[in-house]
Amino acid sequence: MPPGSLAGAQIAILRKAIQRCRPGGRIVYSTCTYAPEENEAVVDALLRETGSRVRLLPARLAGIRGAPGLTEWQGQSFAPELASTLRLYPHLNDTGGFYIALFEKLPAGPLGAEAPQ
Amino acid sequence: MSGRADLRVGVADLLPIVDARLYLGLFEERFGIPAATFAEYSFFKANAQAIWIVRRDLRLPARPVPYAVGMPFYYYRMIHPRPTTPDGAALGTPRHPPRHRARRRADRPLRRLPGSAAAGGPGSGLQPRLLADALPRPAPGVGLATTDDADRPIFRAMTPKFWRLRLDQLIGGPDDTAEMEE
Repeated sequence: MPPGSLAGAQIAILRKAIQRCRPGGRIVYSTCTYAPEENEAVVDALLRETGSRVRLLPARLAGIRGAPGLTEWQGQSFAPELASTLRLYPHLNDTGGFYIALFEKLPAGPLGAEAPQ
Repeated sequence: MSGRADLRVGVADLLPIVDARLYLGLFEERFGIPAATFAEYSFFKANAQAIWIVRRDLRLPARPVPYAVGMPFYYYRMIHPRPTTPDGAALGTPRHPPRHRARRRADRPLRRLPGSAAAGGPGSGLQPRLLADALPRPAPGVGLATTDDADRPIFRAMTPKFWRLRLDQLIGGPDDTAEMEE
């Protein structure tokens, strides 16, 4: 990610959220855009960084129609699990554009310091 | 007062359709949105700044059936008393309403009509008075006015452009209840 980019800040925020989350807890990463560089690319970067310490859960909202997250874009390949993230297009639910990814922090050790109880 | 008949029309009757391929390619390249996402939609040129993406089977809703005779008016300007959110929800918030003036007939008493209580309820900046003529004929709608307007010989009326109706089409002849200017 280019230094100082918005995606760089998003990665840092998500990384910190994963660090602070207790094992077994969940983190929702959500944006108000469907720009892949702010969504799938960010999630993919954290999945690669955290390895087996987190996993993606299916992101679903009752009554909300969405599309699966991208697994490739502009020549980049993303982790297959990104298909379980959720893209919301404006015309599907009469909303703005949104993106939702649901992480679960696995008990197999934190990324950095343990989150306080 | 000009207007059009109360018809359910498609968006294609109102706006020019544009070739969607340019935009579909942009969406897919920039955002990864596949073209199939818009398979049931058409693209319309709304204005110089906007493209509307609308379902092909969309039909614009019919306007409410008028239930009272009268002159629609609704103060949308941000002057005292100001329309409130409940007022806007009840009567709409026209962005560029036309302006009408109606001269009251002295022998036509003002009446409160059904629904006025809700439209001018708590929080409303307007008096809950629906001014209507006493003719048993359909009307383009009803509106709210302040107490000050009740005694004026001329009402200033504003109505959403989309709801403008030709009074003589509704009442079957030249309107003899009001003089209207735009």
